[in-house]
Amino acid sequence: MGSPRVSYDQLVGLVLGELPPGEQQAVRQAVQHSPELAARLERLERAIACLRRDDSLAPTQRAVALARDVFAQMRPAEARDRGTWLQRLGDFVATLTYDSRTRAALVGFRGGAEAYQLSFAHPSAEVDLEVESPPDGAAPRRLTGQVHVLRKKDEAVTNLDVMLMSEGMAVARASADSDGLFTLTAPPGRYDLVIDLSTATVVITDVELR
Amino acid sequence: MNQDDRTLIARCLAGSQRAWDALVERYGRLVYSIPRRYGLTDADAEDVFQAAFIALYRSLASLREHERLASWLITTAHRETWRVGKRSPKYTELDEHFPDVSAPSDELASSWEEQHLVRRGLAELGPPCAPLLEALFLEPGDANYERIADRLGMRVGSIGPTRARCLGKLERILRRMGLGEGGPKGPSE
Repeated sequence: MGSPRVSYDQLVGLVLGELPPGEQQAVRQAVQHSPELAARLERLERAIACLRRDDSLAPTQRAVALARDVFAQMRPAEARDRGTWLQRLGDFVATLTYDSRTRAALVGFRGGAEAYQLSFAHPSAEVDLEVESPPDGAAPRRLTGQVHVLRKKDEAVTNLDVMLMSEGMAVARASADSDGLFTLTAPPGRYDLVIDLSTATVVITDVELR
Repeated sequence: MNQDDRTLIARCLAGSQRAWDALVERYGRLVYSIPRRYGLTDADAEDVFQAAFIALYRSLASLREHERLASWLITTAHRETWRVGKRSPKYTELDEHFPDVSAPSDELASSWEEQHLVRRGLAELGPPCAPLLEALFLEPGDANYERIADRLGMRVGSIGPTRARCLGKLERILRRMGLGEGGPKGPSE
């Protein structure tokens, strides 16, 4: 026999002590028989407790300005040590090795291409991308790709997640299949493509979906 | 470390000021609250804040290996609070607050990290849920439904159902962030 259905209203009522005794008992019984409900209840209790005891303070504008300046002031000094800087960049960011749009331009094609291909290389993986550009300028673009993981001997890649990001926020996510293939859909724009290989993170910056 | 943070760090390393600003925005409240909780003035808390972000900048390349950026920042801000506080004779009771200078107790650190996670959850919720939950739970004193309804342009009768729906959304965001599964972690980890 399954547990009776419990609504969020009831769970919230239980946490806030707002349920009549009979209903309270029924909800508690349902929670006892459902690990999922019990986990939800615990998260709700912790969230509400957190909100109630929250003593955090927003930083002053001056503090934020000082912290932002850290980057502007320290980066030029960092950039002088070019070897280290490039090495750090290489830890994350993949390099463009092929762009079919460039080739099309060289042989005289102009615009109108329905799809273009890009390839990127990184010490941990090679990535091929294809962007479909439908004639409708505002329609979502489809980005298909394949990740070829450069494995060390006996190193298995069990999980490969890809994410399209804009301004630090995920716009689309997918998990690649066993062949490293994935598909993402997003509005036209410029994005960062992040590939989590578990053992490394590969970032392809400024991917244009046009 | 969660994927959003990894990406921001990667973009910082690639030279993006906007990515750095996003990190400051995301973790600013967490870092700034630590010296203030220990009684440091705004001016001294600003020094701690700046020092913590200088340390973050210097550690960006190695931070990929750290499990959680929030806990790293808590430890760093805690240590900087002690260092800045010790420079000034006005914090005579500072030593009593610091049984261990190198890091806050696990209990305290977890509590701050959890608060940070719930704040991030609220930020992700956005309006109308975030302002409603803030009015109901974050503001001091008992919640006055009529005043809240008036301020947020809602009917009094809709506050209860909206509250349950918003808490449900927050709970789902926090589940994705890993709350209740061995401690806070980041989204999509």
